[in-house]
Amino acid sequence: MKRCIMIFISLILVIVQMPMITTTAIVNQDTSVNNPQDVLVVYDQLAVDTVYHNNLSAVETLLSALSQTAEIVSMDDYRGGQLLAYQKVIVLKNTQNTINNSALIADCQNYSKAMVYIGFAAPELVPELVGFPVNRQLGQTVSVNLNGLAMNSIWVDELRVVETAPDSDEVTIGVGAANYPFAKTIGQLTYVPTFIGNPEFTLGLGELLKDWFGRINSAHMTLLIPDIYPFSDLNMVIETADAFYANGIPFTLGVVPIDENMDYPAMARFYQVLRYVQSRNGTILIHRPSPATVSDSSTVLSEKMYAVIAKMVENGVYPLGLVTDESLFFDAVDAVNPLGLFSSGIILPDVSTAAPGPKTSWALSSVSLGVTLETVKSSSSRSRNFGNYPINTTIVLALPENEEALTAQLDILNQKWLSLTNYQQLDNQWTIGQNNVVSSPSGIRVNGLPVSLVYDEEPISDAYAYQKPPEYSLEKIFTAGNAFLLTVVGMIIVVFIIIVVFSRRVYLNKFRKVVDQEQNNQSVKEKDIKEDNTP
Amino acid sequence: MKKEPDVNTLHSEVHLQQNTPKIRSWLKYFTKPSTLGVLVLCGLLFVVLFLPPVIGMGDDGSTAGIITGCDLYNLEELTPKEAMAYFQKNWGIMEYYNDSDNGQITSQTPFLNAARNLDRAYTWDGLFDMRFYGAVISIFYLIAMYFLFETVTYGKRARWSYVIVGLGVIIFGDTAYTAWINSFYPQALSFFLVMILGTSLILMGQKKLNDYLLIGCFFLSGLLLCLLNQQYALLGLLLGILGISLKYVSAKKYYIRICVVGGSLLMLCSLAAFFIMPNGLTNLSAYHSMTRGVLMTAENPEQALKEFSINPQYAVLTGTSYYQAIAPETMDSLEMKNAFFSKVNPTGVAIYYLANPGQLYEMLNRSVDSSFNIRPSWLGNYEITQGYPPGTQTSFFTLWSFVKANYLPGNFGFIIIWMGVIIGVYVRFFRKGIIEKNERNTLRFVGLMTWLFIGLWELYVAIITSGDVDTLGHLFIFSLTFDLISFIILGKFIHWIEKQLRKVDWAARKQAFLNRNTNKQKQREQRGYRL
Repeated sequence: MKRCIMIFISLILVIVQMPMITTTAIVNQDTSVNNPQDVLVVYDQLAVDTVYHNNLSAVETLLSALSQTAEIVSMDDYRGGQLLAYQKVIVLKNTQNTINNSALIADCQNYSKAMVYIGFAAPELVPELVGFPVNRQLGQTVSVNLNGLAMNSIWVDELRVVETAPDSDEVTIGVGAANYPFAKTIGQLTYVPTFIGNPEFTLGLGELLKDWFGRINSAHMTLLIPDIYPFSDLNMVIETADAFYANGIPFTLGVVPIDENMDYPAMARFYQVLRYVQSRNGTILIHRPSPATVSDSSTVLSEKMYAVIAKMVENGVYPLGLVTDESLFFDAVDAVNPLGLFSSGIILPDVSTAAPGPKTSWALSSVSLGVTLETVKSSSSRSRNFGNYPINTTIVLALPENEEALTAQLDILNQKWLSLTNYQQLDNQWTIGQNNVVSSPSGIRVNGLPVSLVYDEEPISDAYAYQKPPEYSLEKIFTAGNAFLLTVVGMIIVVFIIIVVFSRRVYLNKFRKVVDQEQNNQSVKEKDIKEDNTP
Repeated sequence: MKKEPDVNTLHSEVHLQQNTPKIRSWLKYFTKPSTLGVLVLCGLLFVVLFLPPVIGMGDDGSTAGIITGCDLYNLEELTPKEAMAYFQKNWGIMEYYNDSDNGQITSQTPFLNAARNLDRAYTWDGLFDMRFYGAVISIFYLIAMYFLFETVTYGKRARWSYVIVGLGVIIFGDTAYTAWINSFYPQALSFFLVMILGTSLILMGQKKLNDYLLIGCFFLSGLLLCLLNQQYALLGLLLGILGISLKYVSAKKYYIRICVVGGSLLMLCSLAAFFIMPNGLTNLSAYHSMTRGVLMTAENPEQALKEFSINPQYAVLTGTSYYQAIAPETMDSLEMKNAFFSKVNPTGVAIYYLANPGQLYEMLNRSVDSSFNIRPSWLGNYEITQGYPPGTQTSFFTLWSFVKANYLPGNFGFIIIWMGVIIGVYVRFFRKGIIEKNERNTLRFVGLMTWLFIGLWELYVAIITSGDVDTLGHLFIFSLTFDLISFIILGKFIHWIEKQLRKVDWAARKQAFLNRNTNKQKQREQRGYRL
């Protein structure tokens, strides 16, 4: 009896717990967004063909990586009063050109809330900038120091630094033996004198913005192997997964969605490999379909993506997040459906120049910024442990071409003593179509039920009918019609034969005179008489 | 009372009388069916190609080498995707000496240079207006159409000739065809070259124009056609042999010399072009030759990939197009190049099809079907400023292409029947010519067969180079030769009907109809007598 009660109680506990787990996951998701307040980014020019050409795109990427929605506007497009509606404003000045928009100048001088000013100082816009003692140096090799990491040998053509002693936990720029703060805050204004859109400066700005937005959650680091197609070198994928598993490295695999031929054996083999990867501590992420490939309207994209994701889940492959570049966040959320339904993702650094024009962005709840292995390699830590970058980062690692490349990559990763996080154990969740997938440290749950990631090999039959017989509509009616026609034609043929047989007789009868014997005699007699009469 | 005639009126009458013969002869010339047809086409082209909204073809980037070779460049006002969906009228003219090595010199170059110089003479703004090129091509197109109309009307001004010319205007003045004129694609040139090539032979057979002019046209258009692109080059071998055998047509000494020299030159040029010219095959066409060809029709795509020693996992790309499944960065990647593109070449694909005739037949079916569209569906006709949605194609004056795309049976079986009909109708001219030892009479058949051969050859080349997607303009030529041959046959048919109708004595028929009742009465009476 006691036992029964115990079982009953434990059952009830389990049942009560289950919805609680999912709700906590969702609550976590909500808190991690940290109250996204809009931020306004005002930039002067894209500064194409200068070292600053990548700046706007870097700032955009960073904001997306901090799960921050933003409105981006150029100084020429700025409308009066826009600034005053925001609590936080970022001014990005990539050139020394004068500002012509008088509405912006007036608004800036009235603006009294938090502002980050990046780039060339324009005291006519923000008079407080005169207060910063700026030192200008040409052609310097500098290092960016952040979070206990030093990233060395960065060439800067024109370095501007604020000449004050930096705080101990601040991001600094080191020039030779001297150290300058990356940014200086006086009152509400934070001034970043030098910013170049390279990974090092972006990470430095990342730490600054993270503090500025008041994000306190600790950063994590993951590993991504992007651009895996069904026709990639799958043996290499398996080998890499095995090697990473053996070295205790959790990793993620960015899979490019292919919406054609999803039931081919080749695709089944691909899913099999992905299942194997999942069993080896790998997490599957899904790439955003390249905008250059989607020629149709976005509704078609969404339908196809629903199909792709449903097929993956059906085959035991659970994509937990999105791999994308920052431009996705400037498309309308409805237009990128169902990609906007993912809660987490990885933003790949965007090398292209940002698209001009006023635009607003949306954000995922939890995002990490992609960095290359080279960046990690060039970052040196003070202690044996690598530690971490200030914001969530993902090391992007191309699929190694051969075993040597794989060992080389592994060596780098192992030497660095990185603390990598398993993507599966982060809080990820999405509901797409019929499927609801949640992952947390306790594992992956699909529609509330935990799933096993143990790999079991299923035989894939090569006997697949590639050439589908054409589907005929109204096939039955046509077969019935055929049968009917056959009988009719058959009957006609029979009738025709009968006619042919009998017509011969009819034809012959035409020449046969059927007369009485008498008549015949009579005529003969008449003939005779006639003959007699002739002279 | 007699009225005095007005002096002024009298004077003007005299003036009129003096001019009448001249005007009449001009009027007579302009109302000739072929001239009238060309004039109508001229007006049509003017409206379609030169007046806004200007119609043209979107640019898929395949002609970049050719325009660079002519010191033109893409202004890049549109993204590559938009450039395909919209027609681009303005291009830049490079102003200084440019030492670029990716320029290509083809037979389009002289035409483009002429257009560029024309543009320079007219405006000096560093911009090249595509319409100048369109104008240059249009002139040759109108000449070709005059030749074509001459062949079908035999220069006669009967009422039926006007009907045939009207049909010709509907078929070849179709905007689906003429829109190509406003583009840098080789289609613009091959459009009139193929036409001149066949019509010059047929006109020679009809003894309509000067033999020297026609043989010149034949060789020049053959030469330009085979220098258009590396894939057209091998056609020059056939045209060269044909050119040499043309020497039997006339006994004139100079004519025979021209034939022999021209034919040999054509063969030499085509061979040289085949080996010297870059093959112009991009990843785009290689990709389509597999995914929209070999894999799409294979019983087992993985098996087919193994025959090319490609990773069988590529089977997932079966039936996809270049822009559809894979991001451009991946498409250009080294991995893709090593694993896929380096193993696909037209020769290999051609051998594969010869080993799998079932697949070849299936591909022929599909290619014929897609060739009947004339305009690929992904290329837009309007400029972006016109405000149409991307990829919009005009429907102005597209009756024939609409009928062709929607109602003609687009499969190779139909083409076989159609070929049977043509050969059946025309082979007697050939036979007659051979029996009479009059080679000139065989030329009508030879002209048609040249078109037919060019069409079928291009169909096969299209299949082995780019599957059923016409990215290289081969299917366009097939479609064009189909229309040309059908038009000639149609012309002949209409003439035949007219001849039959002319034979009929209409008055007697009418009388017979009126007398029918009385005749019947008489017959009945006669029968009565018998009874």
